[in-house]
Amino acid sequence: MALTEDNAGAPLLSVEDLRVYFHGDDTVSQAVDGIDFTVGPRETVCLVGESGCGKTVSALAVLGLVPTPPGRIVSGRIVFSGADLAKMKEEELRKIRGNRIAMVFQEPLTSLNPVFTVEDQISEAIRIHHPMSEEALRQRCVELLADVGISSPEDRLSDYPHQLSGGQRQRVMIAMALACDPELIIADEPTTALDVTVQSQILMLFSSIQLRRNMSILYITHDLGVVAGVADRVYVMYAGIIVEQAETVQLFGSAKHPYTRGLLASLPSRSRRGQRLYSIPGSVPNPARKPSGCPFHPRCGHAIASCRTEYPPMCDYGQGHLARCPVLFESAGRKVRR
Amino acid sequence: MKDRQNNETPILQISGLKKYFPVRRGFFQRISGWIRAVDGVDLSVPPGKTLGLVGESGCGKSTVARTVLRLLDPEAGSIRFDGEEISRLTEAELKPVRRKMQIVFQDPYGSLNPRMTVGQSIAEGLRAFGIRSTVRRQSRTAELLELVGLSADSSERFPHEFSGGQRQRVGIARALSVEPDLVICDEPISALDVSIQAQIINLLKDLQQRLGLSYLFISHDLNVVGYLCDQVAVMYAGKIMEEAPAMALFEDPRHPYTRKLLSAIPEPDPSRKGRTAEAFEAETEAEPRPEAAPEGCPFLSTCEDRDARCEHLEDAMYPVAEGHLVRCPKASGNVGSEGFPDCI
Repeated sequence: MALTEDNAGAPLLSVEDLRVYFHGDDTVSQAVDGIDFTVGPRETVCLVGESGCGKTVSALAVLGLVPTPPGRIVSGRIVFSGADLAKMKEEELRKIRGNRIAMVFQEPLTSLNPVFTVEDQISEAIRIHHPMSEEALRQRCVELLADVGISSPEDRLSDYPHQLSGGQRQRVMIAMALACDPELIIADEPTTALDVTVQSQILMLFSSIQLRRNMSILYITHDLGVVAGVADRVYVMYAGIIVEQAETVQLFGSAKHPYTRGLLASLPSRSRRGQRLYSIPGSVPNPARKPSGCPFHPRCGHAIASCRTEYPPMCDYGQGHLARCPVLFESAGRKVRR
Repeated sequence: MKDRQNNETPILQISGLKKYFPVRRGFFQRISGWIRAVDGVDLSVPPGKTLGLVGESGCGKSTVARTVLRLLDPEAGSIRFDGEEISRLTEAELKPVRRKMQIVFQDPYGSLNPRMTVGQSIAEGLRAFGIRSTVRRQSRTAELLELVGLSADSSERFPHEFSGGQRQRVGIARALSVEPDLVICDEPISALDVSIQAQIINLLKDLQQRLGLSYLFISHDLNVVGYLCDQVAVMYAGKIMEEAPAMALFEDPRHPYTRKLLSAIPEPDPSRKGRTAEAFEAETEAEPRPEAAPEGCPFLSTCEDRDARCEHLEDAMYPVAEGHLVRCPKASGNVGSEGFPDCI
């Protein structure tokens, strides 16, 4: 796979040919089916896709959090600053998880423990990874809360999650993620449960933290509006594979895959008033019963006979813009190397 | 829009609608206060049109829907459906009215009985409203399924056999089974996948054209509201803060809250990235507390444009242009001689 970062150095996280399957009684769901992606230093990368496309499972796989069984990482390398996380033992992984890679989940109320105070929960990761005196620990928690924009942080330390608003809870989640100064934060739909005004505050918080701390962010979302607001680069997932990857401006300006194009064309907005919205026919395939060949072919207006049988190769449009659709690639006058 | 408003009675007209919920405390669960979920709301839906009701969670928009349907009893105010006052009707008197207004819920899975086939779910409404013949119910069910873009044989299947978008189609078929005039859509697409949302929006639009339906469309998604609605009302802490024709609201928002809401829309346009940076560097979010603030502007604590007068704001809407009202004398633009314009 071509390196797509502007900065020449090696990516911080590089995932190669990751496959995660879930085994049911008599079915196998190929939730993630051979994906490659990289996250460079100080880069915000979005994995975008609909429910069931495998974006969350990919993120969990990076942290070794795929529930096993039924899940299983079938193949793949997950290289994080030189070391393959997929080969690591649990004890080694535990030194990285919450320390060098941290995660922010979608639903702060369910991911926070209701019987522990804010201070307990933020300090937990620090106690494990960087033990320090109680005094210093408390000081660190106050700093972290202030950092994520919580007013009068000293008073909030002894609060329980139910005493906080939705936005404050997500701020606490972010403070927990920041506790050990991670190099990479994986944020899985962190604003989906929030109101728009709070969402935009949290998105701003992410970008300001990233600037201040020189972190990388892997941001998982289904919302193309959010993608446009935060991402440097985007990977579009569909049915367990990456169908398109590009820099954000490229993706929104000239999408190359029929699925991405369809998604962008189907977004309602006031500028489309009076026009009929484009809609992608059909629905998202069940991961256990994926179509053969290109998984998007039953819903695709450009599909030809070979789409039904042949797995589509990644076609390189240059400048890090790749799309898994040879039909459109060839119709643009380019030659597919198979 | 204008001629309709003048010539026809609105299909739904609510005025001064109030719905309070008690806050109970202590061992005896004594009522210690009231949450003003809906606190004096005026709205009107003209026939064949779509009124959007937007606001953030907890602002009272779903309570408005439930009160209009009389699933909750209002504390005060009037609800006129097609000219008839329904806010004080008894259950028996309500029955014929209920047939004329239906609701489509957010979660199509939670609102369908998992043990009933889709056909049974749809036929339930038909039976309740007096279609006794099984054959007629079946043919009507098949007709409805086709109307919402499902094959007629899906009536034998159970909800779990359908995808989210298909289930929402069933929910819509069910609402339409009794031939309503008004359909209240409470976040009908927010639980659906992005690629499915457009299908349902198109369906709602087609049905409106074919059947002349009126919609009260409740949503927090301003992109959808801007696309679909004719008139939009912005709700905050139980009150309407601004109401305007959709284009006017988006192009000339007056109320500070409306502006804040609009600037927070995540738009699929990377050139806007970071544009709202300054606006949201604000340290903490203040949220409306429906329990507090009995007097003055509900947006007072967060508003950047506040002054002393805002603490004693009259409970009134100020006109900006035709059909455009705002609950902020300063924002209306026509400031009168004493600093406040004439309210209506």
